[in-house]
Amino acid sequence: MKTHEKTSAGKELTQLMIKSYLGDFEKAQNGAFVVWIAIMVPAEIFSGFDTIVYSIPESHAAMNAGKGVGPLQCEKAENRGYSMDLCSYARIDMGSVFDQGKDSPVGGLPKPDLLISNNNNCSLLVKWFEVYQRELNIPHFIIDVPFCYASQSKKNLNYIVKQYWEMIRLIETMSGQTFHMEKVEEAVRWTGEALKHWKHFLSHANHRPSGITAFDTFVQMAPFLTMRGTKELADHYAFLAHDTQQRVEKKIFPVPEEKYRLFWDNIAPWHQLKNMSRRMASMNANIVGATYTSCIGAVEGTFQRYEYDDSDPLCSLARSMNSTVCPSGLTLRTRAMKDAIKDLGIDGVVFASNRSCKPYSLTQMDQAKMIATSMDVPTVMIDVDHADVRNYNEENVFIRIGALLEKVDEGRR
Amino acid sequence: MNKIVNPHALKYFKNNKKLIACSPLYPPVELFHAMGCLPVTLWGLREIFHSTPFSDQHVQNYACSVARHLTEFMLSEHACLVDGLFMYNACDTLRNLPEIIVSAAETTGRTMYLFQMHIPAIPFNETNSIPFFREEMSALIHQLESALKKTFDPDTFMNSIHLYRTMRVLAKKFETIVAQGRISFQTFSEILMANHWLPVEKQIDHLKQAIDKALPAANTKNKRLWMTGILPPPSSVINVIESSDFTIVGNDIAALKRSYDYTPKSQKDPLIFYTDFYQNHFPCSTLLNTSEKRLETMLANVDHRQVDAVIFVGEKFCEHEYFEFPYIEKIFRSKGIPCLTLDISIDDFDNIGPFKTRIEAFSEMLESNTRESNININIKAPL
Repeated sequence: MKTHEKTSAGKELTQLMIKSYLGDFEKAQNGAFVVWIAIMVPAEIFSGFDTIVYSIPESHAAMNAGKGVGPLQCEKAENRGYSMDLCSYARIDMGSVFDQGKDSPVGGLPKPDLLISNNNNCSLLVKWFEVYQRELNIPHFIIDVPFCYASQSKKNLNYIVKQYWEMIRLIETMSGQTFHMEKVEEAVRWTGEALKHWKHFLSHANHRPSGITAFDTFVQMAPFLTMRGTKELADHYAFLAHDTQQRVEKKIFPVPEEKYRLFWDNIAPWHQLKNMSRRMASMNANIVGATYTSCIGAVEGTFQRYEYDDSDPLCSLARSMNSTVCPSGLTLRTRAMKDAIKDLGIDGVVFASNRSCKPYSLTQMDQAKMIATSMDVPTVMIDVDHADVRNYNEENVFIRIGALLEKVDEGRR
Repeated sequence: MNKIVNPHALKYFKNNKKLIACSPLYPPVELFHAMGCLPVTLWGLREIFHSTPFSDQHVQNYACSVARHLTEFMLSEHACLVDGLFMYNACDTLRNLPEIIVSAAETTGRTMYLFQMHIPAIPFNETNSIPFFREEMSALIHQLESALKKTFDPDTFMNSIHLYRTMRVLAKKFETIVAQGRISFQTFSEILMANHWLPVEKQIDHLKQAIDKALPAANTKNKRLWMTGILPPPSSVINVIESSDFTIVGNDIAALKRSYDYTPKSQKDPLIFYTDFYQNHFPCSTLLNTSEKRLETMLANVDHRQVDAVIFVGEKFCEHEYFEFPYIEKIFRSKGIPCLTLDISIDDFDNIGPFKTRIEAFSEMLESNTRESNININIKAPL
């Protein structure tokens, strides 16, 4: 089985995403209230209203990068004076907005009525959304999420929940729609159900050879971002887990002669998914997991599933606001990664030093040392840019990955 | 008068006080001073570290020079004088540094107090950000009291506010004198940057001495320039600017104007004092709740100083600034104010050739525009 052939779940994903994007445009045309949000704004809250469409510029940028139009969109922003040192997601999506969605695989995103950003993944999302606030002349609501050096405090959680309420009141005022908490509760349950299946899907990496690659997880995370709180998401992840399990039972593996089990740290290199997975497979190396996708559905400092405990759904949503690696510090990140390395029997770690994401990358040099010394697991640092292929050199990357595999071999002798 | 950042002098000034290294521009210095500490804001390290070997072992080279120099200092021999580090959530890079620095220091057997707080990134009139902020500030005061085994004293705090206010008033007076062309911006920048490393009492002395040395006002045909950015340009670049017939009449540079512009009304309650401070300090691209006010404030400043041109001093890899520059530049240009952007990297000390060419060309362009405009006026006059 070749790694680039689509699985049944992969085919279903394509249909689901097309339906989701088309559905959003249709709803927007029919008068739905449209919100553009940062990736970690809890979209389940929008289920509490009758008709809200939410779109995520970061996902849109990743899609552009994956479809090969990242540099084209970046240049449009750069031509307006935005530096190449800025995050490539931001440059891609700004380029698309400045050019009214031209060259985007989906023609851009539905025109928004409101912008909602937050600063947990990165505070630059707020600056990026400020550009849209000026360009589109619409309100911009900011959710302030304090960074975690230790477990999220009750004080911080309450602070976040109060901001959710303020956001809800603003949407009620702007959209004229009434908020229903019971609908949010239902959405949180669907997300919880989806995440249960997601974690089951990820658990197939424990198998030797692994039933999945990190690249599968990168691709399959898309609906978690764009369809949170829906039955469709839960159904899809149930099918994904089931499909993966069947493939493992049938002994269909992405890297059948798996010799090296690696772990990935950072955002996916969206422009390289096919190339990189093929080349890794040809070396009998499998990146079986990634911090980027393992953290989904957890809280800071662990990749274990955080289960909804029937309490206030807004509290539950606030509790996971520091889960996505970037909003927590070196100690918490390293703790979660060490557990994953141990659980998955990892031979080596690929730290993708990402020029476009400093919040994700800046702890990596220390993490690499900590893991190498305390766990005796070799690591390598490669230079990537998650969405701008102009900042990526494939040969340099694979020379380093080759060196990592040699180190693994050396350790086995 | 010491015009150069000198970490060695800290030993002398420390005088049995606890030294709190602060970063970046809005630390609660009055509070640290009132608790008997010597707060030092770690600006200006570019002048002493021409390379960053310690930092390079922990922080990638695409972090800004402020972050890399801060890390370098905290891991260098100078850091043995530091008793505590204070940082807040100014940006994504800086929020990750405290753990990197403390954990690296610990591997060498050195320990230090780490003081942190989260300053709300939303407007203070929104949600519950004021109560949240006050809880953060209370926690900091308790942490200080516990670490220093000393109780906060409101009267001492009032005295500290008075000293810092005096210093800031003098800094603003100094800025006005520079705008009049009576002292060079070069001198101004050097003294202000060096002052970050001194006790506030010494800062006041230095500012008074500098102001006393101001030349009488003289008519000049120099073009009136305003500068914005995180750090002032390297001395060599300032020298080029001032030699190119520019008088730097104002700035909103983070290490200069943004740091000395605002002191709230004296107030014995630090929670009320700092709520006012963090709500009303000079707008900054790094503190998100004030960035919207930035352009408005900049335009008012530029208007007040009757500026001919603006230079954006870009701190390479400071994304907060780079997200704002294109918009601000567009607005300035729409108002007929010519702009030049300089991108200053960590190693831009002596290789100033490209800067020199661009600054001189900018100056010539402005002169040529002025000449054309005068010719147009002359031609139009007889009609």
